[in-house]
Amino acid sequence: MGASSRTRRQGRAVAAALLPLLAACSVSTPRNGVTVAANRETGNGAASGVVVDAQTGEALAAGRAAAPGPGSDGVAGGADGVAATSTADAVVTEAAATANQASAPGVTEDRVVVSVIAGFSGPLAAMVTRAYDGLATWMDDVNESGGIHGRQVVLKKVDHKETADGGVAACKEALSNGSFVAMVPEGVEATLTAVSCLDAAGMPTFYYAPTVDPSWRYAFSNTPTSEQGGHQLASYVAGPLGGRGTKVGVVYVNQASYKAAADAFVPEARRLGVDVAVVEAVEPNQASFAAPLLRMQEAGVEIVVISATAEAIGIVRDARSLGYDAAITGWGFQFDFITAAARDLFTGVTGLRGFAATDSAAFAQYAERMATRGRGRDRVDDLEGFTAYGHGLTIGAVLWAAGQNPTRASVVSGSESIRDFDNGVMAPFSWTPDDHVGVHGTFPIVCCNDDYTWKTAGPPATHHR
Amino acid sequence: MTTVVVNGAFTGLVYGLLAVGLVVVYRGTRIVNFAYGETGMIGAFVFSELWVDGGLVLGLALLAGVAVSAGVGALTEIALVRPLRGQPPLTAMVGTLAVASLILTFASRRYGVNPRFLPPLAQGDGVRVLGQSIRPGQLVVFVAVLAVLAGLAALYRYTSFGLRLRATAVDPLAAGLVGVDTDRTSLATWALAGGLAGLSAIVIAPSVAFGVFFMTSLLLRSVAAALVGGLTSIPGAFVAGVGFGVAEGVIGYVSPVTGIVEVLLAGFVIVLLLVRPSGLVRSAY
Repeated sequence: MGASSRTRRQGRAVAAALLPLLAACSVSTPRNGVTVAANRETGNGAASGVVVDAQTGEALAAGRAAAPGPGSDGVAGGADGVAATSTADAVVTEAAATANQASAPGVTEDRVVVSVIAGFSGPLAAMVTRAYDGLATWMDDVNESGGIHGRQVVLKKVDHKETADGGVAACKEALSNGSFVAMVPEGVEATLTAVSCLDAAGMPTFYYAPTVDPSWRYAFSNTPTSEQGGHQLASYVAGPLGGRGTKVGVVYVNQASYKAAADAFVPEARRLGVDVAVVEAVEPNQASFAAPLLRMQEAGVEIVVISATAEAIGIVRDARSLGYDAAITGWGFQFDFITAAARDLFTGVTGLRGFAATDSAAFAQYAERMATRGRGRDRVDDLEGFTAYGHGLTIGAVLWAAGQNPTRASVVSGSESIRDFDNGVMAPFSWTPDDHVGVHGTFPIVCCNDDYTWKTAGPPATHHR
Repeated sequence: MTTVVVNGAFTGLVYGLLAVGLVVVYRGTRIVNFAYGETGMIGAFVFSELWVDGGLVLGLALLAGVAVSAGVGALTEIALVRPLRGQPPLTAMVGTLAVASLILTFASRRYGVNPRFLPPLAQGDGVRVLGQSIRPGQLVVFVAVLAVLAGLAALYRYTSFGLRLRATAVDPLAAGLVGVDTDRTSLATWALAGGLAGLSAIVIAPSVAFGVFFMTSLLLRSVAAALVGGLTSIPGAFVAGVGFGVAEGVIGYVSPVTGIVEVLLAGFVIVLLLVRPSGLVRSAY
């Protein structure tokens, strides 16, 4: 080891020793009154809430540090985010301990590798590519601003081909391609098999799936489940839509995730005083929805709750053609491609979704970043990129919270300490050691902006009043 | 109940229109074209691209969409059906499944899997019949169905081409022996059916969630309707399609049991195949 190497090490050590002070001095303005704290000064620990820089995903505010994480190489977090000592020896010791190390598979002194598992070659390839662009923009921004704990983020594409077998194969690839953590931002069957496999292998994974396995120990859900959507829709119907004491009908597509939302909605709505008079199941891509709508109309239903995606277009179209003027709301169809396809048909339709609308400040900021990176595109067709960007911000916050020399265990403990995490893209959410699905808020929206994208109709919440 | 019956009848027109296309292919080549829906879907997307995105005149865009579907049908004949002539028909039928898969893969790559906007082909308030409001889109389907049925009847009955089609349908070998160019006849049959698929898809698309899979699910009912017509009777298949639409609406209305329509339909088809495997109605060509 030569003199220059020693000098470089010492330089890093001094810089590392100063980090807690710098972090303690940093300031952020939380959204929605969220209390935030992030520790970036030690190899451990976890934030009790994190606010991220919308451009880089970097955790901005230092606060109270948590107990040492299991993968901390023996360095304890200090109280109130400041671990500096009063003697030169102590500074050197602390600095040496916090210098970047290759602390886990996929983590080197200067980079951290994240597998992105998605259907890059499946039937959703075009959508997945758009989503990846959002992630790539997040990565570019993070790396340009110095990385996370000084490490450049490297994303590795892994293809699950949207099949169950592909999910398993993708898992094996992610476990052998030098990745530290994985994210699975889209998919259904492939997501379930990939995440099950990754969880069994102990790799921290951040996924989106409408239905989840709560027993997963290393996997964290990024967005609201269908069940959460159903619950929150109940409070939305009872509250802002004025549904208490009103007859409400539910029509859902007879598939697991849509049924889960409907099953969660009905008892919760009744508990809140909503008269759920009719519940109808329809088949995917049914040619006509006139029969269930007529039954609702004859039952005097004034609010129709839809749990569906593409079928929502046919349901709304049939309702309009029958002259049925009930208020329409729901879960599962609040994508901009649906309103872009339905256009004026959806005027006045409301609903909840797990991510901000295109007229939000978060989207504007995202669009600006995408444009800067040469990836700008029509916002009607950009939801995938936007949500993926949000996933990137989440991963960034988690990696910051995992400490300077992260291990997979410290990622898990860091994630478990996230409370009311708010990156502006997704509604605030919390994870705990007992709940990796977490509590996710939802955004109320209404159709439409001038370009037929959904319009923000209120702040995000986990219980809409 | 009148509303249910009227809505069901219009849904049935869609099933009937698709069933007619299936019958046209089967009459001519003894093959059930499982790529029929996808062949039409491609034409509808081309139509959408030209009309909605490209601003082309409706009539021209419609012609182009139908032509593309006809071309896909013809290509299927040249690349798959003709080389497999002489093999059991089942071989080519399985081949059409592969064609369907290829078209779907291409379409989902090119157009994505999300539904797309396609405005009604006709605007306005519609008309009222028997106290029921009929949408302009439903009228378009009705007119298209009438045109297709009349056109096919005239083609088969009054033209020499129709005569060759019927001769080939009855006995391809004998037709060939008397000078009918069976290759050209087969090609024309597949192109005609492809064009019908395209026209059907274009008139149906604005009434459903228009995406790459929209014809696939609709076709299930249509296959059942075609079976009722013994896969050879155009009027039989059409009437069965309309009947299925009405029955679906009425059963769905009087019985809120989820999936009851599917169960009854499947049961009906199974009983039909057991009791009358040649269908309730067969064509005498």
